[in-house]
Amino acid sequence: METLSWLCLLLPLAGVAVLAVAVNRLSREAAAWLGTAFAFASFVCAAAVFFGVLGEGESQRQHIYTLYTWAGSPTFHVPLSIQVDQLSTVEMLIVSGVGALIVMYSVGYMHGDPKERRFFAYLDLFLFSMLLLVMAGNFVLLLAGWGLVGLSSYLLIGFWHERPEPVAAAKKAFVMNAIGDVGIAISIFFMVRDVGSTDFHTVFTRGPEVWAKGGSTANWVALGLLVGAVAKSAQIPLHTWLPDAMEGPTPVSALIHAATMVTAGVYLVARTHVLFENAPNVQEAVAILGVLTLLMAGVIAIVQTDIKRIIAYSTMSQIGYMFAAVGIGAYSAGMYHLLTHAFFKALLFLGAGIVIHALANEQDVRRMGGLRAVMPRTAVLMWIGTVALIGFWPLSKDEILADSLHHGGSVGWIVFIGGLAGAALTGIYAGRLMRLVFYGEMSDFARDTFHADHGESPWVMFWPVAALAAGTVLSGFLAVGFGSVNHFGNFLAQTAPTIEPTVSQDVITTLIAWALGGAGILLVWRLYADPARVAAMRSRFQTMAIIAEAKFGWDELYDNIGYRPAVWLATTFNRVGEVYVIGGSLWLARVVVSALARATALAQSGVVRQYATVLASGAAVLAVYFLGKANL
Amino acid sequence: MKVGVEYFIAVSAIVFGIGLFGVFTRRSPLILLLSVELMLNACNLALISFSRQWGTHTGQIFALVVMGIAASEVVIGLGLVVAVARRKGNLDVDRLAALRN
Repeated sequence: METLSWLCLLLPLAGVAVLAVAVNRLSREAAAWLGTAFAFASFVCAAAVFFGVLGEGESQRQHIYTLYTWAGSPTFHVPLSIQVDQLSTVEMLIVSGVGALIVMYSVGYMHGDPKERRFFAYLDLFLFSMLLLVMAGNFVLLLAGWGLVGLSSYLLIGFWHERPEPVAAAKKAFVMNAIGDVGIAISIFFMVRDVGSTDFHTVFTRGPEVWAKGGSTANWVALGLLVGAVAKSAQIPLHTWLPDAMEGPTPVSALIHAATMVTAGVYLVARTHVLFENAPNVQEAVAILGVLTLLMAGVIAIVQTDIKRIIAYSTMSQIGYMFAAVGIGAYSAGMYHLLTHAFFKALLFLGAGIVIHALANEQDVRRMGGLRAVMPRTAVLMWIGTVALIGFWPLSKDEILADSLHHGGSVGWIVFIGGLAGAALTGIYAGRLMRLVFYGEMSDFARDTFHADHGESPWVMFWPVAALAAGTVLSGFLAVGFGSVNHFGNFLAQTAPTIEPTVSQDVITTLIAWALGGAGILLVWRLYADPARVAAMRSRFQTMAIIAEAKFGWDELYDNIGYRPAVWLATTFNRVGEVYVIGGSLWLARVVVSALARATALAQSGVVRQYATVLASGAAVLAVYFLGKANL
Repeated sequence: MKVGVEYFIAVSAIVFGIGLFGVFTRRSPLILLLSVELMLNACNLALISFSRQWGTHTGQIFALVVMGIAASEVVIGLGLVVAVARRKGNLDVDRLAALRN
């Protein structure tokens, strides 16, 4: 199993190496399929490892495989080690499984792009980085994976670098993620100082002993990790990069910015839950931030017009649920929502990708409409995703809400109420997306652009989406709730404990959430039946709509507190510092040196007798000095 | 009467002073060379008198070396004087200040 684990991690990297070395010697299609093959091979290894872990006894499911000592000193060393346990195998399956499907989808989506080979090399690089992140056995290796996914995300967001927007979006994502990397690095410094090790096992056992519960160091450690999680998972206040990241190709949005990388923050909190439980205030902050994000993103998603941005805000909102879950200690519920979300959000993105692909890269939902008639298969798949998103099935969101009800206390109630409000918002924005894209009158634009003879989508794009739809439905059976066996929670129990709500709490929550989600859809359907109703609704909630359309002004806020002061400072330093301080000091140095030089040049007369005189007087002075000294 | 070392040093200092005065005041390179020669010999006198006082030969050997160097210096110096005289036509050292710039 050790070999399989390393293979799972390194196969995508081998894919990168092969694609990078082969370059033009491979045809575009061969390169694309090769990248896909490596991803699938990695998935096969991950599945083998998963069943291996499953076949072991409850207490023997945690393995640490060390290759060698990566960096070491007599008192501190960082081994190159991976940890394979319940939590990481689940993540390995998600990353390599959903990843392989999306890489396969890209074969169709990126067909004909001039940089196709590089795209697949980047995708494999991302898969390797993400697997490194979830398989790392210590914090340093985790941070290495953390940084590498940031890098591959940067490369893929800015993949179409001929246009300025993707480049700006890539930079924005990279800078915001760098803030998170710094947070994690600071936590690691505390671990090195106080624990003397960065191994997960050592930190989790020794950490709570050396850091007093709720003490300032415990808080700083958890806060550093939280900053990292918030930046990577696009939660308030470091969320503004995610909607812009939609400038990347759609498979990238599905893989990185929906299914895997952005949920890494949830994985981080679940993985390090010991440290968060040691700092209860910070853990409450996790839940509160999650609730704030899920509500805000849900509201913004209602007014967005770009199909990918709607799904991006929906992703932020769903990650908000996961944060709320891990913030109240329902780790396995958070991870379960991560799993189902990986399926249904990748499904929605790839479905949207099929629509975008069919409509010549148009992303504005107002120009679509009525596509159900020409794209029936896609409509069905998108409905499966939408039903999952609203929370009808799988019941992962309802599980989080039931857990929060069981958790109780002010934070529990905030999560419960906020989560239910979010369920209604989800119904509205998800219903609106479906209504605008697939129902109503087909727009002239759509009729002109859609070519029936091309069919809906190539099979290589359809089957991965269908597989994701199957995954969405089937993943619902892993944890049904209602008092039945929670396979998922039981499997994770050792590494990510859970909360068991009572059956009545579960039933009540699920019924309310269903009702609210359904009400959201019905509301949208009634509204959009008549355009006048939409306009009336908008004018009634005008202030709210304007705020939502301005995305709550975060970008402007960061412009005003970050970008503008920085630019002002730079121009001021340029005008004052560069011109007067640096230029002035250089001018002063020049003037002083040349004056000194002119003064000393006077001594160089070229008259030999003058030199002799100076020499003799010097000797005379020395003679007088030494004679005077000798007499004393 | 025993002649003490201080007398030799006094003579040496006087001769050195004469040589130095010559270097400061005269413009002719020939006189300059002559004055330098005086100063060198004043040093020789001092070296030999110290050597005699301590009963060692070191100073005398130094004096011999200085004589040798003085001789070669005069050879080069006179050669330069002849060359300068041929090129410039006059022999005022204060006007030979081409190295200033």
